Amino acid sequence: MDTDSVLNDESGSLEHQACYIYTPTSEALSLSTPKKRRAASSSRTPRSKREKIDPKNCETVGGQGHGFPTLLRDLEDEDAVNARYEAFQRLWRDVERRTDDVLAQVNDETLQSVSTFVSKASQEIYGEKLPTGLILTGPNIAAHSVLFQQIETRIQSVDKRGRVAILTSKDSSNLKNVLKKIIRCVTEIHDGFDDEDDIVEAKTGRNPSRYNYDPEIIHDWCSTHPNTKVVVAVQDTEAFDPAVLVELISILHQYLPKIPFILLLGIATSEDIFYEKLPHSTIRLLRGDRFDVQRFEESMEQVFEEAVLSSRSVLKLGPRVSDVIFERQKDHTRSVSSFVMALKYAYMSHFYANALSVILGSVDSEESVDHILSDAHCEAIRNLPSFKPFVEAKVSTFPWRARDLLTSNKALKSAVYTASRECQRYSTNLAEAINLFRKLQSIVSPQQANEIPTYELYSRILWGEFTTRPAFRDAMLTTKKISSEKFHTLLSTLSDLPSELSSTLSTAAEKVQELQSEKAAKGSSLVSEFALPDSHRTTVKSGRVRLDEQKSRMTSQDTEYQKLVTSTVQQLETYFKDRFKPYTNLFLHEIFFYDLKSPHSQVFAAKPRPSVERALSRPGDYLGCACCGGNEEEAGISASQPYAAILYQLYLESPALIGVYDLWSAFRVVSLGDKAEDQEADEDDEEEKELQAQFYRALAELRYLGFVKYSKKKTDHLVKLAWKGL
Amino acid sequence: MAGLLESLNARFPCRERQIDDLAALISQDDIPAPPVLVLYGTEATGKSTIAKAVLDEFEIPYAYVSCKECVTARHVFEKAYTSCDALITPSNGEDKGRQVRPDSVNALAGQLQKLIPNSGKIVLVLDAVDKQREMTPTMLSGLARIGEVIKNLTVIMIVTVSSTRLLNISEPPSVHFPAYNKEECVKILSLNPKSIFEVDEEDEYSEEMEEEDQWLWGQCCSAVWDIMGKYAARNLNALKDVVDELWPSLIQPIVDNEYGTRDFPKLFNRLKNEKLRNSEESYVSMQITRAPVNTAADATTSVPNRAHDLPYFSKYLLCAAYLASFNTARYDTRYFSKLAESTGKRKRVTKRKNTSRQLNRKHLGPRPFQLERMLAIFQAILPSSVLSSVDIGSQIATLSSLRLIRKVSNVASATDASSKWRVNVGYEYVKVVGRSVKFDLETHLEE
Repeated sequence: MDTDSVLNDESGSLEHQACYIYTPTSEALSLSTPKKRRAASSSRTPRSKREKIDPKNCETVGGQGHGFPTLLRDLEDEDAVNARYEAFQRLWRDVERRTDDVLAQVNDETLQSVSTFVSKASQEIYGEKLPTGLILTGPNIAAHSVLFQQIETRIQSVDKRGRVAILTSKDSSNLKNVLKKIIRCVTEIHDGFDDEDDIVEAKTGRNPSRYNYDPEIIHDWCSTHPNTKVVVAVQDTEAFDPAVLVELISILHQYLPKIPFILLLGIATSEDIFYEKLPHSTIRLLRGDRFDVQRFEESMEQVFEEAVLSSRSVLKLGPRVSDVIFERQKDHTRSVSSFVMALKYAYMSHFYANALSVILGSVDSEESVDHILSDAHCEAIRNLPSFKPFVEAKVSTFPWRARDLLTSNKALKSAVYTASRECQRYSTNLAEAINLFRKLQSIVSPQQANEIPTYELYSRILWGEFTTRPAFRDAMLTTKKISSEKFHTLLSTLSDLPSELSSTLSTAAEKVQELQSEKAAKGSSLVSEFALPDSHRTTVKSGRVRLDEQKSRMTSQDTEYQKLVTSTVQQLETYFKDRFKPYTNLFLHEIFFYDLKSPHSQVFAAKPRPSVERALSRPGDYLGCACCGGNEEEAGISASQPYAAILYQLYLESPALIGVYDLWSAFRVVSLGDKAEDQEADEDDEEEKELQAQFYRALAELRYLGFVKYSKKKTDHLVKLAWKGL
Repeated sequence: MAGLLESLNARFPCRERQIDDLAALISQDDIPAPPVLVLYGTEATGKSTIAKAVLDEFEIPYAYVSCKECVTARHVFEKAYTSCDALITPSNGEDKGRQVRPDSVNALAGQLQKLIPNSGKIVLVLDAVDKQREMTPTMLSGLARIGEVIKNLTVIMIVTVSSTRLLNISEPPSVHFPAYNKEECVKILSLNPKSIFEVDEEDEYSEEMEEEDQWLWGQCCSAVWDIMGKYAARNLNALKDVVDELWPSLIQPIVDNEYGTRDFPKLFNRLKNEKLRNSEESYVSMQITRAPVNTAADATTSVPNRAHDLPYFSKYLLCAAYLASFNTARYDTRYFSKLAESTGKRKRVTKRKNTSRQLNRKHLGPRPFQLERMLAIFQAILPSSVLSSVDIGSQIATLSSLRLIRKVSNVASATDASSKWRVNVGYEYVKVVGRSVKFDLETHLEE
């Protein structure tokens, strides 16, 4: 691929311009694919100081044609560029494979129950009713076709229960087309479907040929394929024409004695809306069951754990970028596939623009780190923000080590290796502790655990402020208060998880068990002071008296148990506090945690409308010239601005119905400035004529952009269509 | 003759008159049958069943076409022809050569004329012919007159309502099948009662048990009719569905030895308290997912339904669309202006409005609005402003493909600011959605 000349032509002058006008040459036109342009822009966007990248330096490109630029002021050698590319490919492919596996599992439960439903459905159970499965798919449309494909493969290829015909709203134009599609899917006959009333010739001599929409074809087919069911699956029931759906159901029901039909309906919104849409007489023909697809939060959590938290994912998301990603998920998309896309983009832009990302590819052995890092890399590492505190910490204890780090590349390289091990250990410990905490939360206060999913905790934990949050303190306090049975289950579950506390926890669990059985012999259960019921007495004193009473009833086992609870909770708390330290303390965290916000927000949430509005109302922002009111205070209308911009600002001030003549006179005054007052409108004036032409051109541009249209109500008037800021 | 009628009456009680009439019209050997015969009556009154039974019993050759099964008119003609063909020349599996496909009533009549021999009676039953999907104005009267063209063919048409307009024949012989009343329904259902106890092969199904079953079943049927006969169980089939549904829970206490078989009032009260009180509504709306009898146990163990959520901004967009549909644009400034003075004004105006006799907007259905107006309302009701981005556009597209909102104008581009839209869900749904994002729909809605 030799696409880079395009980039290079412009990039040289880019850094001084706020905006440039793209004038493609014929060669460039044929080469500039959208994908390419995006990649090019991402090289510009992460403009942080530490990476030392300059658009100027993206000049030559690695020889293998992968399109990765040479960074570090062109000092990066070709091997390093290639290594970066390879590391990206390898690491991402691994993550992708694991996420795909998780995603394949996500629908498994639903598939299982649908497949049992299909295999069980028979005339004995449902009688004259049409067996119907309602699949509540949720509002994420992109996932629906995947799910239905999976259902098809499951029933058709894995279970071999019958044939599946998937219908979408596109097929719902009329009943004939729907039936044709079903017949084609089921019988796999493809001739005779082109024309309106074509005839399908029978494959075997026994059956007569029929109209191409005649369900009897399926009946003929069924007679040669005993014990197969015909599943008709409607993927988007909401969008399916209700009239056609009613007809379809009645036809399927008519043929039910001859053909073992099963209907599957995918419902994205809610059952109630579905019931509202169909007449009761149709609903009476159906009978069946409902299947729920895993909710977004659950599948998202699984994917997050596998793709980000897992120790096999070397590159982690930083708190800022994960906030951006998950906010967008919550507010806009709610789809796992868009998260995977965002994650891939994070990998892409990290490896593309950060020269030091090459370290990620060779964390496993010291030699390869040593081998791949050049002098330029070392210099770049010394410029990392996390390098300074790292050295400063060394100065007080080992001053010679600090000097070595600053002067010797060899010392630095070995420090890099240790630091990368350290970073990895940090993330492994973090994942482990998060896992432990989630488990604890789900036992102690399940409701809270449901409210805040792991991926939302993640960024707070990375900032290191989670242990001061009420959510954390609540969890710890409630842990003290739970009953002894629950405490025991908690300890035994937590000790099953791999962590350094597991042995302590399991001994504590045994102890609790022991105390419990001792106490049970006396006929009561273990109580700690924390678990005493709250006093309902109003005065402080009476409450205290009661508390004392209850305390006095506590036995020796109880006291021992209470000590155990206190110490265990204390241990847990120290453990969490130790693990939930801010990631910024780590040396090299810039490399192991990708945390650039702007590329994501720019790439994934493009804002075409605000951009157009801004360009028209404040052209100076984009043109960057002195004449167009580039400075903030003076932003407003002026004659030096482009004509379309002038007209747009006049347009903003006008009412919903705009007289063209009014607009023209205002436009004339603005454009001509003081001159307009001196001279009366003169039709023949050359300047006037040209201005008028410009006016019409600007008006046509506004119309093209969809801001105005001609009014039918009043002659020579325009209707205002778009308001600013919506 | 009389013997045949008796056996028919025993099989189909409460239909003596209809059976008599039918038999008289078509089974007399010496009198030619009428060219067309209309059987009419509402759903589940035994029209098709009795017609077929009478024809079978008197051994009159007939071809039966269910028009509900047919997709087009040509499909009906084809089926009518092929079934007559099969009746007259029973094929032995060998190929009959080119198939005949009449594509109009005329062609059908012509082909049938060639096909049908001159002697012997033949009946063509067209079931639910008025429910045919592709009805042309002349099709019914054309089909009705085929019998006039072909001497020994009788066309029996089964329809829901009969009128002279229907066939354009002054007074075709017709038999009315009235809906069953309560006694008749109970009598018919009592023909095959379900049993209380599972009968094993070894156990004798004693007469006593049969009597108990019979009695309890009858009681149950009539009680259900009393409660739901007016709405949910309007006809025989619906009644049967409901009784089948309730039967297992009704007899459960007997199986568990809590009550005797004759304690019907107690049993039914218990059933009413348990199943009917809260879910009577569901029997009216006839939900699909009521677990079928055999898998009742599985259904109870399934997890309670957790709702799938819309994204945060989609919920606000839906609320905005609802408000745009049900508020008049004139009052938008009052309801969505963020100025403080607007509240005072609102109170004054609502007071005056109450005196006028206007229907509530909610009952008048949604009205179309411009996309731009919805976006403006969306920005106004959001707690914090958001810059419009492609994400908002894609959410509008998603809402529209979920048919929560719906485009009504035919503007080429969906996101054109002037395209007209309409909300497509009811107040209750939007209220729940609004509540989940802590948005109070009521305060922004016009009275």
